[in-house]
Amino acid sequence: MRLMRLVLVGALLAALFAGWAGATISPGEKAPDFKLRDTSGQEHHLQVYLDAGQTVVLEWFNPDCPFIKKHHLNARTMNETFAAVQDQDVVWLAINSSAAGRQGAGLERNQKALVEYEMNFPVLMDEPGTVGRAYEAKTSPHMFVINSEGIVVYNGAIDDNRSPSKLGQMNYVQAALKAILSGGKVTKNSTLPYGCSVKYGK
Amino acid sequence: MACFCLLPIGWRPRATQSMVGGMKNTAPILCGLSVALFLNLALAGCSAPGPNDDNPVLITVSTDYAEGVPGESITLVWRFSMAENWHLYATNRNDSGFAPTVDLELPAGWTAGGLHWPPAVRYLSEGDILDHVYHEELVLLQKVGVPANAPLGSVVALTGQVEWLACKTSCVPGKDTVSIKIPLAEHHDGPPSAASTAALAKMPVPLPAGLLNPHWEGQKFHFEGTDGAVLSFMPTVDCGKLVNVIRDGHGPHLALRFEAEGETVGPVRGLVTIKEKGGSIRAFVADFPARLLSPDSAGG
Repeated sequence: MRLMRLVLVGALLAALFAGWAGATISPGEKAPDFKLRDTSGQEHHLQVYLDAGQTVVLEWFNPDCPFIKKHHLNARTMNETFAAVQDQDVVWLAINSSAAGRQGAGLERNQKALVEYEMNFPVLMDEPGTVGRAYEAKTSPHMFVINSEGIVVYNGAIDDNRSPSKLGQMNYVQAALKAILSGGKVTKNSTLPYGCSVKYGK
Repeated sequence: MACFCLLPIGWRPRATQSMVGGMKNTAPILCGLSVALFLNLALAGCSAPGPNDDNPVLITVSTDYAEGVPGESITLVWRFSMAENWHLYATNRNDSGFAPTVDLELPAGWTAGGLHWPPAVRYLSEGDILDHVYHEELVLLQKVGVPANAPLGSVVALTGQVEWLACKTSCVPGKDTVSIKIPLAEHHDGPPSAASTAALAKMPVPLPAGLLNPHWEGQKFHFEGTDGAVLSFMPTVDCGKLVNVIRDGHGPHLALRFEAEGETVGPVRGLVTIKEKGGSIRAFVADFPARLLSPDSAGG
């Protein structure tokens, strides 16, 4: 009994340490499952998309962040990247983890952004930040590409220009999607994301 | 840059013009005095408005010496003044944000060096987001080489396109075009400006041998502080993969855990700051090569 208690305590400490050490979702790891509702109230369950054999792109989103405006308003990077693969079993989900009262938060603001940015994919509301923290999403945008087996195959920036106004030459998400949809391997599977900090609550 | 002046209540441009014109014929001395007094008061108040929430960053550029000398270099002093509670980002490895950039237009033959950055401070946000930022003021130094054949007595204009991201509770990008005219002379007439000297004094210097006893121990890199001092490590983007810089990068002694990348750990690249008991801060450049892991050194 005492031995069992020690093992349990050890396991608990190991689990706590792993979390405290700040392990990131690295390419090759299983994507944490989630269920979130979008701005129209529809539920999105990651596992359901994966079970249907779909590739899922996650984009951390904050409609008022200048870097989101760069890719959604000044240019249509996200819309165009998705449009190019939309008919190839790819799902694109924007996730907003802004806490209530912080920049870009609230159903109304995001419903408006959906129209303003002419988005061709939904915005999922993650006000408590649970999903954002599970993925350790740092910035808006912060991009993840998950293959149909539920494995993260890309984690990082949308492109290679970290400026709030200038567009990059290399669209990493486009490259990752092209690779996996043609049965290949993602060569650049991790980059440093850039953008505004995700506006998590306490 | 727009200039707003505090003017006497009831002042109207047209009325002033006619007043000056009318008085010129009848009382030139009184008019001259009045105009001088008015201009003096107006100019005293006619400085650019300070940064505020609507315009959180103001940029100016000056030089260390009043004149450039052909064949030598001159230092540009880029000053970013920030409104209260706003911040700008450093070039260190940040989780978010964007460090200011300066794109300098140079005449033929002139050369520009990189920007020199003072030490920033750690800025931790909810969600374990670690950035390195500046508050209130950021002063960057940039050396510019004056060509040896630049004609003496001429005045050269340098223009910089500056871009930045300023954040408070939300972030606002900004751009500005800032120019400076540099007269060319045979030699400097006076000492360097106080602003450039003060900025230079804050710049990090290479870590002197022996200070902080930097060393590897397995996959950990140690910096040992002296009594009462607090150390901070701010990695640059080319630093090796740190396990948890939020926890490891601040304290009286640092034990930075690195993830193995192949058969090596590191390199250790970044800034180390020492905050002494009295509050003074010294900043040093840390640059230690990657370490080849031997089977018995892993996990230490």
